Amino acid sequence: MRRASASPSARILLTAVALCLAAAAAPAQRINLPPVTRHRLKNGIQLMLMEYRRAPTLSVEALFPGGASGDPVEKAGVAAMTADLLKRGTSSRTAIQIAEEIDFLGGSLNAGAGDDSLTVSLSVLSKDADAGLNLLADVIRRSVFPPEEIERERQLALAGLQSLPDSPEETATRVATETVFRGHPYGVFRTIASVKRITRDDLLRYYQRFIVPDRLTIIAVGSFQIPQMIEKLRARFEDWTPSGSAAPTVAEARPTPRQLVLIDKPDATQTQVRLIRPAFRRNHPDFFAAELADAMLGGGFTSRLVDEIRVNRSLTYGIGSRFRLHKYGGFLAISTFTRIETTRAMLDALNGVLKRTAERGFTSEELQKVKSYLAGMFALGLQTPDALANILSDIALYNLPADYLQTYLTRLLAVPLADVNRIARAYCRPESFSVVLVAPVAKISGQLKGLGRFETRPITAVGK
Amino acid sequence: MTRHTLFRCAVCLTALLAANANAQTLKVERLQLKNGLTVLALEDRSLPTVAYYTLFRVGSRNERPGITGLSHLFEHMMFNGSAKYPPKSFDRIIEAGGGYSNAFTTPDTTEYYEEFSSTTLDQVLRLEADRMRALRLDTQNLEQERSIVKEERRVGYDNSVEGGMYETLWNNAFVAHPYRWLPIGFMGDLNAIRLEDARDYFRTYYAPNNAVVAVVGDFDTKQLFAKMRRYFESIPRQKPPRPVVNSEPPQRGEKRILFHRAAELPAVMIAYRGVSFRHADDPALNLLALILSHGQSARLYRRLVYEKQIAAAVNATNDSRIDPGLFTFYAQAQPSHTAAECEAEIYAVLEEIQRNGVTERELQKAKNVVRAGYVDNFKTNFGRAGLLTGYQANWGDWRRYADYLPRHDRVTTADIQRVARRCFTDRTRTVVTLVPQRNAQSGEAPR
Repeated sequence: MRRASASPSARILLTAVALCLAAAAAPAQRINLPPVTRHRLKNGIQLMLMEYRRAPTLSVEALFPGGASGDPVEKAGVAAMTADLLKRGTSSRTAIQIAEEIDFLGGSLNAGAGDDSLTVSLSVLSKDADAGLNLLADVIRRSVFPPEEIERERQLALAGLQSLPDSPEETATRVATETVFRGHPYGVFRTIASVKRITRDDLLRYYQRFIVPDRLTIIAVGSFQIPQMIEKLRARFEDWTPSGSAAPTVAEARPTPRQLVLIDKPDATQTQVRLIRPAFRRNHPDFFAAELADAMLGGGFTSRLVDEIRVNRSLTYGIGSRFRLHKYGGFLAISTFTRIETTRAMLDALNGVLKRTAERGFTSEELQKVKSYLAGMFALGLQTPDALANILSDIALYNLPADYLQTYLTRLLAVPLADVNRIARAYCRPESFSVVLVAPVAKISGQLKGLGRFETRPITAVGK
Repeated sequence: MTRHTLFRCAVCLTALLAANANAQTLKVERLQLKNGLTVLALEDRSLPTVAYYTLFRVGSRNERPGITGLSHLFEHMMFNGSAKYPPKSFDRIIEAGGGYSNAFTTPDTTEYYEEFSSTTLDQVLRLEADRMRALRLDTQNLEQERSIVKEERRVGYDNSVEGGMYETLWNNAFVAHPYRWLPIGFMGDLNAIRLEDARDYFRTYYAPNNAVVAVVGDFDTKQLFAKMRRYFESIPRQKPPRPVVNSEPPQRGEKRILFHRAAELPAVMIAYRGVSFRHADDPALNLLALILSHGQSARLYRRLVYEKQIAAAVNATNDSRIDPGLFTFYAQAQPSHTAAECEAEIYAVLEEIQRNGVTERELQKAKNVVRAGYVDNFKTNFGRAGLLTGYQANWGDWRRYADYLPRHDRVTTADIQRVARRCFTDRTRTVVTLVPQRNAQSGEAPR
């Protein structure tokens, strides 16, 4: 494969959504997507529905605000384990029966906890919509958390944490996130100790507080008639009594001071490199300017980082930048790796690209090209029901404007160079980035002289 | 990089059948240029975008010791300029056209693709023709990509426990066949490959008669074909590449390899001799792999992860290729359990299938999984383009995609039991056992 960067997979799916994707210079930039129908059930559940006719499939997401950021620190992992347990037994189905039913449909039923939400997602062929929705409603509403299933999931979670040192990439990303969000729930990850402390009562408490109809949004995209889909969801969810529980509250993430961290992985022949710094929340007026700056800095093959670090200097196979924006805060991160001997060369090169970007900004030529690029990628990326469901889910979770999809291109293309360069000045100064390296300390120390003092930890201490 | 072409195509195919009632009548038009280039066109004007896909019939299977990794290294070099286009212009043109490009190398093929706004199609045709005619093959291009590919090797194999085990498995399962090395190649060979090797490769394998192109999306087929003739037809045909000889001798006993690597949990990889994707038993082996490891209701997951709780992860894969490949298993042990326990339990599950077969419901479930999986893949221009090139290259006719679903639907539980008995014999087995060396601290902190 030619590319392995931190940016999303290059594999883009394409379907029959009609859209207009002219060059950036063209006057009309419109996306003709089917409309989103919003409907509220009597118990307050919000529905967002979009018909999607080309493929006979159904994608559903049930979005519950309040994800891992609701975990007590000493019991980090409660939300994730609750999500894992939803599929592990209901009042009418055993874990095996649930697995057997969804597998027989050739579909998927997954639950996962993100930073701001817990999401249960279903994907089936349209002909299996009823069977799939029955399962979805059952795992959401009637999960029973059998003790032996909790122990099974606990053992799997512990195995994952124990083998974390085998993945320098994952370790580097985790430590970088812990560093930039230090002191905030976004920076708290589950550990072997915290997973061991979680009890069934903790899971039930989370389930009763967060997996409730009060703030639930259900998103469905597929080949269905809107009234029929409303009816199907009403039949399965409208008799669910609201809990009256308070909405989850999370503090805004505050900027953290810069840190230098070196994680010792003695057998590595390559250094994993993360540069990370605080940014802002997802629902922020600078979102579009940040998208553009991000793509010019480390988005496609012609971005500054790929061009300088990979193409001109052959220092890595993969490099990318990413503004990762949550509900209450975000960060800008650069992810890459290089062989041990060129670690300093990599850090100096990154420093050079960032410094130039912060001081001189981007050019109007770069901006024009990246607008075409992002406009095209946005359109190409919207063409499967799963992708559409994901965007609708973001709209609900981050309170984005109702016409977000329809106005995305207009707003993207309207961003002036001055705004993008304001972002560059504010967020690209190299000295504002924390640095996280995963490498063999004994072989790398000499290269880090003069950079400041790195806090050093063995890789086996991460996640413990 | 090790993604398997045929499997992906197969996945695309059923999507087509499930998604479109008249799938059998896909309106593909075929153009055969005088220089041997095959072009397949599928118009779909529903979106103003185009997927352009090129498959060259060359992969690590066509390499020899000393140049392992060249097919993949060459794949990288294809993006760095040609006679009329200086370095970096390829990506600039594609990205400015609202698109992306990429490529991958398998043991059997090297495949290139891009999706972009249809207004960019003419530029893309010129770019593609120019790099097929006159790629810029110089030292700068080679050295730039050599370093990048070595980093790719380090990240995917030298610093990945599972990647290292996987490479060791294939290195040892084969004696004579080029499948014994992976497309990434050996580090020593990556260091040794010369510009001359790359030039030979280009002449031999990147000839128009060794390629299939599919274009799917928003264009007029007549105009497309006229342009294909104008831009591509004068690229000279070359002598067909020398056929790959499969001299792999029969395996007459189990091979066991210990793999020492810093790791936290024990793991094991097991391989049995597989079949060619053209073999009549290939669909039964695909379905068997699903019965064994698709989802949490599959036999291996249930036994090793759920019931016995000795494994943290387990999977089975039928890796069929032009020549017979491997049917492989991977299991990672839970803390305080061993690779040996996982291995023994996998064998117990296989023996049960050999003895008692599988149920009708299990087989139907696997067939449903195959069918449903296709829908997700076939909606896209990109997916259809990959499907067409794959069937044209591997089966000699793009229409053969229509056989895929019937081939799977015909499989019976008796077939599953028969192939399980034939495939899973300890004499043709190769086992790689991870011997974890504990991660330890290497030295003191820098000042």
